[in-house]
Amino acid sequence: MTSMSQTSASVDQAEIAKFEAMAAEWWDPNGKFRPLHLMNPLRLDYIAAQITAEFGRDGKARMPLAGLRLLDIGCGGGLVAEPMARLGADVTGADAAAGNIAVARLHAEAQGIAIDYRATTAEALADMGERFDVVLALEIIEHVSNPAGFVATCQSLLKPGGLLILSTLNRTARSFAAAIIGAEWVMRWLPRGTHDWRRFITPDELAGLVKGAGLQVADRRGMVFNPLTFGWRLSDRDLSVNYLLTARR
Amino acid sequence: MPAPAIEDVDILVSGGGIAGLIAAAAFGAEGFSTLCIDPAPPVTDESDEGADLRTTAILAPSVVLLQRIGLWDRLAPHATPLQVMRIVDAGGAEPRARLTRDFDAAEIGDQPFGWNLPNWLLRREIVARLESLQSVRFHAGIGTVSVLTRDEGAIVTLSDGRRLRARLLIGADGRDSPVRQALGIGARRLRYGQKALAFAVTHEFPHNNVSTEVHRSGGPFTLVPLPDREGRPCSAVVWMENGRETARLRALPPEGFEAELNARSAGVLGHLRQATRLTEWPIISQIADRFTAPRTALIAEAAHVVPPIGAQGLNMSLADLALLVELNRSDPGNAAALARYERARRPEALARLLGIDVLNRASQAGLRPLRDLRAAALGGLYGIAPVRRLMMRAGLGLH
Ligand SMILES: Cc1cc2nc3c(=O)[nH]c(=O)nc-3n(C[C@H](O)[C@H](O)[C@H](O)COP(=O)(O)OP(=O)(O)OC[C@H]3O[C@@H](n4cnc5c(N)ncnc54)[C@H](O)[C@@H]3O)c2cc1C
Ligand SMILES: C[S@@+](CC[C@H](N)C(=O)[O-])C[C@H]1O[C@@H](n2cnc3c(N)ncnc32)[C@H](O)[C@@H]1O
Repeated sequence: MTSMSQTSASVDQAEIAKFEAMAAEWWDPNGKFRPLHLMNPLRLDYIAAQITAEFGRDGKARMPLAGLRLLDIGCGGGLVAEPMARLGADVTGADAAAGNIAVARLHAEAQGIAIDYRATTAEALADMGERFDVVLALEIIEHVSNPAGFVATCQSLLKPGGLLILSTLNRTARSFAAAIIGAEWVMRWLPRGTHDWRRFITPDELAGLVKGAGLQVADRRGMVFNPLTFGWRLSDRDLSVNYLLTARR
Repeated sequence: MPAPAIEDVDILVSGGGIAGLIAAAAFGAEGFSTLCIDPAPPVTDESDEGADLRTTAILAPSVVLLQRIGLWDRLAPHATPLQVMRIVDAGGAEPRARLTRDFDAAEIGDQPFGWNLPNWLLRREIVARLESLQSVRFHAGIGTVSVLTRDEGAIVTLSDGRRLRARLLIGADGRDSPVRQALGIGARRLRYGQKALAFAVTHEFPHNNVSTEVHRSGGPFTLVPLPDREGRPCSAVVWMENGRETARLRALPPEGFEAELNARSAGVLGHLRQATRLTEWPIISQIADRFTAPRTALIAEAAHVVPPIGAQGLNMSLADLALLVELNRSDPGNAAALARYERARRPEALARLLGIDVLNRASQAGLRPLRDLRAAALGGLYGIAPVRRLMMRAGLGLH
């Protein structure tokens, strides 16, 4: 496994090491991954709505995603992989940090949820010829070494008509204030240096990468944090900090 | 089992009320592929059960739109001109006209204020026009079930299981708009406890193309000119009262109802006789918190509802539509066009709603002193010619 990820184009070893060091904290809602726990309900709603609309599923059914093959690339501890499996999807969770996969596997087993977790990279999966109806790449692209190559790999992991959903941080003064000063320095949710602001990608840049990989951009939406209520909401205007992008092959 | 593929259309109109049908005709006339859906088939004959016996006074600016989209030629032969709007205060101790003021369209131009048409006939003629437009389909018996708005288009699931992706989704599906609700857009509602009875009457004296509003208490009583019926002059009535009173009126035997009817009309057109059954409509004011979402615009009652005073409801809706067509001619549903629509139409609708709300509450007034004040205000304002002309022009939606 280790040799595979070392040779993989998108892996930045220094980035992976940061996540290995935090692996034990994935499922602690007040731990280092608190920001992801807080935004989870909102992004899960968005993702489920995009998938059910694209594949003509009844969002109110008990298992609306039944029969869909879904890859969560950079799944971390499985905060999204698990709910997707609960909605009926046939989930593969992949992460380059083996420590994350160990934590994710233990947690899913304790919950009685079947997920195919693998300590591997997007490139390795693509080389094996794996194809999915849906690929999720959430909060990962700002940590990979070659974003354009990473998006192209995601494209090759999709079946024709399949959906790629990315989420990441914009590169703006506000995202610097929120993600670096706010989350790392003031709130100390994240260890300093978790994010490198210069590697953040604007929505237009990401749309460019997505189109360059032969995908069609279907939607972009901002996720806006309210520091008073600690709640998140979707916005079609404010993409200045966190945002999602949906594309179709 | 793969779900059926998504079908692409330029324009999807949710709701085939009068506003939705006209929207379909307008975008169809621009050559856009347009689908209009409504769970209820349109009732296009006056004698059919469920026929909409209201009439709509189509004001002059709306006629411009209807002409442009090829509808007016069909409607004109059935339309009754409205040359004079007469306001009568009968709020004294006896139900008699104590103050009468005429607003004559001749004072502001050489055209009537508008033309009156029965709603069932509007539906019949617009549906016929849609059939002649290659680019438009109208499917009755199908409703909107769910909506997901994406930047690339609004994905709408219909009650027959079909999925469509529209560059522009028009929510014209009424005051409880399923499109508005699916998008989580709230609406503010004002209640008056009033209902409107809508029906037609024949009367002793000709109407001479005068529409008359009689104010006493409970709400206005309006007579709007229609073509003669069985050789007798005929008008449409909208009679607004509090809900308990309309229930009492509806339960009266025919002679009893006729007596009340004639007392309320203060004899302005001589003896009135009921000519159709009564239909009842709840009266509210309502405005949606937003008129747009990505790839989506709300129009007509989905966006705003006002009491039927001064023939504003559908005319505001046609002003919505005229702007929407203008802004979306090249690239329907683009974000800049929708932002402009929101900025232009919502404040305008809110201002009109607040104005009509004041008029309605004044007309509801049951207490004598308030009624007297109303009469004095009308008399006073009316005496000032520029104010009078301003009131007329504002009523038409001109600035
Ligand atoms: C008594 C009275 C008199 C009036 N007189 C005048 C006048 O003189 N002049 C004037 O300008 N205005 C007048 N109005 C206002 C006018 O009638 C309305 O503004 C006008 O009819 C516009 O309504 P609409 O098409 O938005 O709504 P509606 O006529 O309510 O149409 C909404 C449509 O949406 C459909 N729908 C419901 N659910 C769904 C779904 N899930 N999917 C798709 N479609 C759905 C419904 O079946 C319905 O056909 C009057 C109103 C009243 C009550
Ligand atoms: C911020 S976390 C996001 C976790 C999860 N997607 C979520 O949103 O809850 C980023 C994850 O991506 C993983 N990662 C970074 N680069 C990767 C790569 N090139 N291939 C696979 N995983 C990678 C990291 O190990 C880490 O778990």
